[in-house]
Amino acid sequence: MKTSLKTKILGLISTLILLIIILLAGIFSYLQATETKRHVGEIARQSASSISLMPEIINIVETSNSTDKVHSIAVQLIDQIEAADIIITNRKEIVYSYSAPELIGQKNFERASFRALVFGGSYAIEIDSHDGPALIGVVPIVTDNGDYSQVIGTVMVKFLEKDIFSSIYKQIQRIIFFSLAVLALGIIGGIFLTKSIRKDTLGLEPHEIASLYRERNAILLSIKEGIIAFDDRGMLTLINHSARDMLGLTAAITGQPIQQVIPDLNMMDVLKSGQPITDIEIGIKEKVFIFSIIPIFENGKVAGAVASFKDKTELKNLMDTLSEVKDYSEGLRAQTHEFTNKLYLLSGLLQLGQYKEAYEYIQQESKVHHTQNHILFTQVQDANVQAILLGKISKASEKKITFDIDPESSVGPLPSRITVSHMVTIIGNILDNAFEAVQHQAVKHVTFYITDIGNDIIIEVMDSGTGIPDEEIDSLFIKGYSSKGTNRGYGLFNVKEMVDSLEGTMEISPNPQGGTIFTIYLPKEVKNNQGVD
Amino acid sequence: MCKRIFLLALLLFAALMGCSANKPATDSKAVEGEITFVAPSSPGGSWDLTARAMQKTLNKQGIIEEPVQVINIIGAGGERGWKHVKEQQENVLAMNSSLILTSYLLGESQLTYQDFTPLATLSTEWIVTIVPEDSAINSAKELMEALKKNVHQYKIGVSPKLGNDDQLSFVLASQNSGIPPQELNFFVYENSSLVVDALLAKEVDAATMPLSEAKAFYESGNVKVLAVSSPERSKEMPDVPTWTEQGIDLVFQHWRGVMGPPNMTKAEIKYWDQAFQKMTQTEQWRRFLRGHHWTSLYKNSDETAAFLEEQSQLYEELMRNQTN
Repeated sequence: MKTSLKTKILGLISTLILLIIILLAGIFSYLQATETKRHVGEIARQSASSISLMPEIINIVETSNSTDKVHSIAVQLIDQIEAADIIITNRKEIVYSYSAPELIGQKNFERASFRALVFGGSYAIEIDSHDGPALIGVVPIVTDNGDYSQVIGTVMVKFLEKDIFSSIYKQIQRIIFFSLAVLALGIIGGIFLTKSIRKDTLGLEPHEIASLYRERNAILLSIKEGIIAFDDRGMLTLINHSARDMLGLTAAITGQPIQQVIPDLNMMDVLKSGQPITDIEIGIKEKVFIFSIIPIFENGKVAGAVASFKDKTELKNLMDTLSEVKDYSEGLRAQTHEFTNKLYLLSGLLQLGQYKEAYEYIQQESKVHHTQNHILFTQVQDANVQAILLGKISKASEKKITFDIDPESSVGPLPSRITVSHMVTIIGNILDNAFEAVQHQAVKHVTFYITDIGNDIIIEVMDSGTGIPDEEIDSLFIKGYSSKGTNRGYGLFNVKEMVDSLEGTMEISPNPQGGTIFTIYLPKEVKNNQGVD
Repeated sequence: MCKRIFLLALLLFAALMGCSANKPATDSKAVEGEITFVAPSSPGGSWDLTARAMQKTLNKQGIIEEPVQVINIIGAGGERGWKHVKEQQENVLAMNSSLILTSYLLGESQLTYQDFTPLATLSTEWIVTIVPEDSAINSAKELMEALKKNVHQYKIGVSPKLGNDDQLSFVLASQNSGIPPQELNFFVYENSSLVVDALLAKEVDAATMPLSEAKAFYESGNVKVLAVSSPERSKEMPDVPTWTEQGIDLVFQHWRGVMGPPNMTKAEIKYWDQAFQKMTQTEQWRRFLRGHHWTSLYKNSDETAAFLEEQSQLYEELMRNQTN
């Protein structure tokens, strides 16, 4: 069973305070007790000393045996200094004053005066007196007889230890009372502390927070999108695995300013305005990402923001494939339409009885179709390449471009590492570029050649366009470069990425007859199985 | 409460700091600069005489090169002088004797021998008991017998205060002879010559005093010396028997020594050990002791520390007598 935060904090605080209080109270009580005892001893000695100097006392002790006067002075003093007893004796230890009157005139039996009587010492001493353990201050009574002095008696001031202890006990009681007050204060403080902590943790117990944290980590890890969170100062507080991969980060970077990690991302705007930003494109290290940034609010203030992002290049590929598929279906419709037209022509020729022309027309059409289809269906055995080429044939015929598949072309089914999306991107883009290059030429001719002889699959596309100036060849593959207007230029960049990912190479050379030749070499197998996704 | 605990913490801190701040022990020059000997008595007293003899011997014999001065800090039975030394850091030494033990036991002083660094014990002297020349009492044994019969009839003279070694030796002698010491009637005079005056005027019947102080009166024939507290008869009074000889178990000496302020370094202590050992071996020093009828009793710092502890226990036993 897990103890709740409240019990835990309260328990810990109470134990701690209790321990400290017990310790302090113990030390203090001990010091107080020692100090009180020492103090009482000192008072006893000083009182005895004062009494021993009283001329009246000296006089009576020296000269007479009259105890009454001494006794009455002593009784008065007992009240004043709150002592248990004041015992005054003469040289022979005969008592002049004692709280018990029957002892007056007798020999003193409190054994404490040896040092005072013999050596003239004055001191406080602990002895077992007849009414319990006592602290006694002993001082000699000394007379000065001109050229000599003499000890003529002693004064003892007695404090009973039980009285001292009861006074110490009273002090300790007070200490205990104050300690309890402090303990109560501590517990109240503990309750407030717990409340404050629970407020900060939104009422969650620590183990709940821990499991939330674990869940959050698992969720972040499972998301393919990149997630970055940062606080109100723009310091990175969280980054998930996908974000690290996409941004190519390896070192621990939490706690650093976001500008250091993604300089182009102006997150401060979101922090200032509190307005979310959705679907903005930001280029980082030759890649384009689509970012959405949502601010986090706490008490109406922006406390930070979370950015999620995905790789736009990937998205673009997906969209390309989609549009290719769309193209095929349109191409097929165009072919159907053309076919219908041809059927009308034949029907017309037959109605007019011009059978010879109709026959020749059929012969001509079927020859063209046969050659093209023969190459397409017998020499190109990969279904995906067939489909792509079929689509492009339709597109070319629609745009009145002569699109030839080289009769020498021959390719078997492609190895599994080269997928349909690879081929769509590579062949589709290069043919589209070629089509566009010849669109406004007088001679619109594009030739496609593919072979799998040897270790490589070689794809070659030749057009009769104007060619590419040498100085532009280098910038061809830069993302966003396009000679075809703005918001384009991903075509060749994507092709290059695909070719690179397949560890192939690409060559661009001018066509001797005018125009450009694109040649792509894709290895059938990759040695050591490295770099394959 | 807080204040006291804060003080406690402060003390602890100070103690720690004190430990780490101890002066490093250097062998070569442990003691440098002018040295002061404090005689906590008036000029002419035994402490003063001893300090000045030390000053002369140490400097004249070239035992130490540092100049030595002697100062007298008088008052409260030596306590004022000792207090002064206790507050010093270095190069200030004080004369001491059993008085530092008894003053504490009699509540006259808060200082104990443990508040200082013991350096040496130098000399000792014996104590004699005297009666007037014409007294009926002829031996210590007779005196004790008389006291036993009627203790209140006899007065004993002592100077300059109760609780000194002169009185203590007599108290011990009577105690050992079966006389309750608290019954003894002591008259306290300012100095030895006043005691002798009182003795001759029959104000007191007997007196106890150091041998050195009694010698003049003994030689003039005014007084009879009944017993000496030494283990064997002294050279100065060869015809005076010891207490032990007369069947009374008592050997008692009055020693004097030197101590320094607390927390002296080992090197400093070593320096003084060497200096005092050399000093006590010189003819000049011996001549000085002989001149005052004192006996040499040299103990180095270690021996003195042990001696003080033993003496402290002895005096405590003697004075805290609870058996009566």
